Amino acid sequence: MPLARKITLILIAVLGLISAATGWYSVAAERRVLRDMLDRQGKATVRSLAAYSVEAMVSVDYPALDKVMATVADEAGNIELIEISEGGRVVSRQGDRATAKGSAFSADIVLQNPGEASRVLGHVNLIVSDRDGDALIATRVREVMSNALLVFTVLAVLLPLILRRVFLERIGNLTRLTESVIREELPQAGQANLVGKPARDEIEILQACFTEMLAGLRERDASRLNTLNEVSKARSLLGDVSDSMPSMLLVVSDQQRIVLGNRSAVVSLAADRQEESVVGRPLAEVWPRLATEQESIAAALNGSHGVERRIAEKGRDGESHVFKIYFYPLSSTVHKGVLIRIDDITEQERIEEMMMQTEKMVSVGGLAAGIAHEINNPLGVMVQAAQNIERRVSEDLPANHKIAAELGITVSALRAYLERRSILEFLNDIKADGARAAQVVRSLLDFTRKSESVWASVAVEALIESSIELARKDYDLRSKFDFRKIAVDVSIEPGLPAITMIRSQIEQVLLNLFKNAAHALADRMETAQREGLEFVPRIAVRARRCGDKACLEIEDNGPGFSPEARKRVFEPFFTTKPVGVGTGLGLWISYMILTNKHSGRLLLDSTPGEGCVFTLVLPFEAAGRT
Amino acid sequence: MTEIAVLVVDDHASLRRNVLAMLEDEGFVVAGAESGEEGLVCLSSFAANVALVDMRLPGIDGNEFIQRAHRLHPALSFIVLTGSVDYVLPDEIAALGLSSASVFMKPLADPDALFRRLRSLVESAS
Repeated sequence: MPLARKITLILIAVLGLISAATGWYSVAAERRVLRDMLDRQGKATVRSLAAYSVEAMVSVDYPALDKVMATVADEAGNIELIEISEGGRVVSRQGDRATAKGSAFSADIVLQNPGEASRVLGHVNLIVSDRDGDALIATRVREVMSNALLVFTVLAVLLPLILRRVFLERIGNLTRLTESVIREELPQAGQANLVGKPARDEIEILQACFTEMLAGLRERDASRLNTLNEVSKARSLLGDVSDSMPSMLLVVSDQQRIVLGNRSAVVSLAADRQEESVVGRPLAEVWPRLATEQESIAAALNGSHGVERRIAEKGRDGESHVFKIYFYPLSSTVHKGVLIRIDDITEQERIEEMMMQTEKMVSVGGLAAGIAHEINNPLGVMVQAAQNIERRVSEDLPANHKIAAELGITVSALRAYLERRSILEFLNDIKADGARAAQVVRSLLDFTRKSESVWASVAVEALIESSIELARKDYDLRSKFDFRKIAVDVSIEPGLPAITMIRSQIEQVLLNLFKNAAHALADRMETAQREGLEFVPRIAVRARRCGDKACLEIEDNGPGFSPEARKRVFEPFFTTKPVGVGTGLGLWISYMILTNKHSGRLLLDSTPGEGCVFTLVLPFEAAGRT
Repeated sequence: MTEIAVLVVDDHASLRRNVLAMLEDEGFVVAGAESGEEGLVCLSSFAANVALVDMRLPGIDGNEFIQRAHRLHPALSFIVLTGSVDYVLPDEIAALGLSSASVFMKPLADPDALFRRLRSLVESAS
C-alpha cells in the first residue's frame, strides 16, 4: 500500500481515536453539567412547589394547588408530572403519570410556624423531562462527529498530496538514484535478495535499494581489497623471485638510466649495497664497460629479440671474470627500455675447461693405449734386430769368426770398417731410441695392465717408507741427482687409518712425484750454485685425514710451476724437462691412477719460485673397484 | 750340457727371424714355423725340447697347436708368447702343466728371463 495512504490512514485513525476520546469526554462533561443543572432546577422547582403549596394545603384549597402546579409547569415547560399527595393520597396532579418520564424529585410540604415544630402537610413528587438535555447532547454529538468528518475528509484529500509533494517525491528520486547507481556502478551486485516480506511501500523500496547498494559497495570494496592484496602478493613474489636469482638483472630505460635492479645487481654494483644508489643513475656511471655495448643496447631497444654478448673484465676482487650478458627488449606497452641479464660464468667456464681437459686426457689416454699396442711389436722387433746385429758383428761369438773366415775376412777388420763408417754408432742410436720408444709404450701399457690389481689395506707409514726406499734405489735418480742427499721430512697424523689401495700403483705415483721433486731440486741447486747462493733442497711428506679421506702431500722447495704450466701439468706428454728426459707421461699416469682407479684426486698447488705441493686424496675404503 | 732345441711358432716374420737369431746366439738349436700347422709338421722332423708359441696364429690358434703338439709329443714343453695385457692361461693349457711363469709378453723386454725359463723347463722335464 502506498505510503501516503498508509500515513493518512494512520493519521486519521489516530486523530479519530483522539477526537473520539475528547469528544466523548466533552460530551460526558456537558451531560454532567446539564444533569447538575437539571438536578438543581428540579430540586429548586420541587422546593418552590412545596413552598407554594403550603398555603393551599393549609386551607385545603385544592384548586389553588392545581393553579400553582399549572403555573409552575407552564413556566418550567419541561415538567412531566407534578403530584401532590397528602397522607398518601394524591390530592393534585398535573400531567399523566403513565407517560411521565424523567428525573424524579420530591419534597415535603412543611408548615413552619414560628415558635412551633414543623409539620409535614404532604409530599410533592416532580418528574422533570430529560428530553431537552438529551436533545442537547444529541446535537452536541452530531456537532462533534460532523467536525471530525470534515477534518478527516480534508485530511484524506490533502494529506496524500502534501506528503507526496514534500516527502514521497524525494524518496522516489532517492530510490531511482540508488537504482541507477546499482545498475551502473555495481553490475555485479546480485538481484535484490531481500529477506522477509517483499517491499510494500516507498520507504521499504528505498530501504531495499539501499541495502542492495550497500551490499554491492561492500562486495566491490572487498574485491578491490582482494585485488590489491593479490597485486601486492604478486609484486612481492616477483620481487622475491627476481632477488633470488643468482643472475644480475637490470632494467635500463631508453635514456640509459637504471630503472630497476635485483638484489644480485645491487650487491655487485652499488658500493653501499642499497638499491637507491643504483636506481636512477646512468648505466655508464654504474658499469662503464657495460655501457660501451651501445650496439647491443640499441639493438635490444629497437628490436624484437635479444642480443647475447660475452665480456671479460676484472672484478672487484682483482681477478679476471667472464660475464655472459643478454640484452632483451623490455616487452611492455608502458615502459620502454632494455632488460639486461648478467651471469658470471667465470666458474662455469673454468669447470668446463677442466672437464674438457679431463676428457682430452682420457681420450688421449685411450688412443695412446691403442696405438701403443700396435707400435709395441714392431718396436720390439727393431730393438731386437739391432741387438742381434751388435752380437753378430762382435768378437764374442765363435759363429761370427767361423763365417768371416769362410769369406776370407776377419771380424775385427769388419768391425774396423763399421766403426770408421759410424755404423756401430747408428746401430746404437737405433737401439737407444727404440728402447726409449719401447719405454714410453711400456709405461702406457703398464698402467692399463689389470694383472697387477691387488687391492690391499696399506698403512700409510709403511707406504711412504717403501716409496722413499724405491726412490733411493732408482737408477735414474741416482744418475741425475742422489735422492739420498735430499732431506725428506715425514710427518704422519697419529691414528691415521690404513688406506685400501693397489700398492704398486700408489708407490708408482709417489716414486714419480719424488723423481720430479728431485729433478726440480737439482735444477734449482744448479741455478743457485751458478749464482753463488745457498740452497738447501727439502722434500716434505705429510699424511693426514681431511674429511672422510686421506691426504698425502709431497712438497718440495724447488722452482715451482708457472700458472700456465700448472694448468697443463697432468696432460699426457706435457713436460717441463729437457728433451730426452722422461716421457711426459708420469704425472698423467699418476693422475689416472688416482682418479680412475682409486676414485681419488691428485692436486697441485705451486708458487713460482718457492716450490710446489702435490696432494694425493684417497678414500680410506675403495668404493667401487675398477 | 746338451743343446736345447727350441721351435718358434709365430706368423710375424721379422719377429720370428730376430728371436731365432737371438736364441741361436745364446747357444740354442733353433727352428721356426710360420703357422700352427707348419709347426706340427716341423716337429715330426725337429726334436724340439721347448716350443715358443705365439697365441695369435693364422689357421689353428696357439691353444689348439699346443694341445695337438702335446698329444703328439708329450715330452715337449711350451712357452706362450702374447701381445695381450689381459692374457690368462686357459684351463686346458694349464692342465698340461703350464704356469704363468711360462707366459711372456711381446715385445720381449727381458731376454735373460726367457733363456732362464727355457733352461729350467728342460731341466725339470729331464
